[in-house]
Amino acid sequence: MKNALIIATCLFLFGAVNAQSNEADKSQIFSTSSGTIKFFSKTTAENIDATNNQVKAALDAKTGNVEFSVSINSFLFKKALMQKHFQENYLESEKYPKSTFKGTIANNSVVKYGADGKYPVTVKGKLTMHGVTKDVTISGKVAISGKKAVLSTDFNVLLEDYNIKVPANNASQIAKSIKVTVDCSLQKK
Amino acid sequence: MSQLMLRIQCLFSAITLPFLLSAQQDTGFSLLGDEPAERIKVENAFKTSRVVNLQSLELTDAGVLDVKINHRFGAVGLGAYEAFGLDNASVRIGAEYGIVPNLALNLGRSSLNRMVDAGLKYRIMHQTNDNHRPVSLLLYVGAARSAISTSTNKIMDYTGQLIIGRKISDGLSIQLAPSYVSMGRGGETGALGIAMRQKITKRTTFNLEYIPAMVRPMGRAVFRNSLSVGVDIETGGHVFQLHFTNSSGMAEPQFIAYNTDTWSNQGFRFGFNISRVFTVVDPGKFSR
Repeated sequence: MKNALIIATCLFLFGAVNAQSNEADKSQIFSTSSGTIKFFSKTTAENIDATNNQVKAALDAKTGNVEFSVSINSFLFKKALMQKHFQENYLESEKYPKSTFKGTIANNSVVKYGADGKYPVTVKGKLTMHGVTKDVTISGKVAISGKKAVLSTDFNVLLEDYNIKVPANNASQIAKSIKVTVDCSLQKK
Repeated sequence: MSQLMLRIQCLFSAITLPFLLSAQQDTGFSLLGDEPAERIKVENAFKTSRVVNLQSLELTDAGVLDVKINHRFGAVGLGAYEAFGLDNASVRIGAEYGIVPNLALNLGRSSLNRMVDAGLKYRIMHQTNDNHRPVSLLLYVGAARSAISTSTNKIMDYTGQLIIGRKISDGLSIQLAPSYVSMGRGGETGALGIAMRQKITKRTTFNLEYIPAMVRPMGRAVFRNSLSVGVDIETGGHVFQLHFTNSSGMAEPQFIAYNTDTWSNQGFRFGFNISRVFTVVDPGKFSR
């Protein structure tokens, strides 16, 4: 009887914790559909950068869950031809129109969502791009001011990790590792 | 004692289990919800604005200058003495400029008949991925004039053309181009251009175009429909188009209404187009 009670308690505890992590309290969600993601490719031959100002992002303050969704065709380049090649030859945006990130702030407890300030965070999750999903760990910042949470980070992406192939005669113009900069200002609903 | 152990074990697993689970990165949550499928314009139906001679479904982007250097050699049937046509060349040097999104200006000078041609190409409809717009539709209007100073030649030829087509898959695009040419030297004709491209690799394609006249060009004793096959090779900023064609003229009236060479009598010839694009105006200046 005692054993059964202990097991039941354990199950309940486990269940409660588990349920809590899945539950999304709407009042705790910050979101935007106009975040900014930039990327930068630096080689001695050429620097290439592109900006996307239509990034969708959401953050659940309670669980630390974050989600990003980026439309590949919304990346704007300084040269139309680069944008064409980016879409058709490299990211294959007709086949893979979106890139997404889903993850969780590992140290969510350090972020005081009620108090203004900058909090360094580590986010673990899955980055999907060009049809390939990889587990990544990214360090960034959450800056709280009032009802706003600004998520910012930069990290490097290896093209070969996401099966993005650069032909030999373009290899001098496109870096193997691309710097991605995220700057998204999320608003509490 | 054993009960205490069990209790400790249980407590331990109650504490660690959720952490173990979270370490596995539970991404089953959805904060953004199910996003509606986005409507995207279907781009890159062809590698450049021409199939071979014929206007394609592509249009030079706003603020971009596309310089086109085109050559058509002599007929292959001329034989070894004329290096199978390579000793003779007909040249068109042209440029296309995207004035605003969906509108481009074409200019060209051909060595054949010293012809100058100018035209406007306008995109009326752009195919979308969700088939809201299942096809792309473009309009080309142009005028061409020979600079050879005879009284009969100093008259304009006018071309009006619709280009309607669809990128069926990533590799395959097809188009029809009903065309009308008013011939300055008298007469007119209507033709139906038919063209396709099939990707061979990501950066190379096979192209085919055929432009049968629906009405035999009036006043032309000799006339042949233009037929061209070729490949496009895309490198960084260039598109190289290599082809065999029975048309040595590259301005619209020349290959739609005035073509005289045949394929059957080895009248076909080798030719190439080189397209090089330059960004003149930052694309950010145009709201896209």
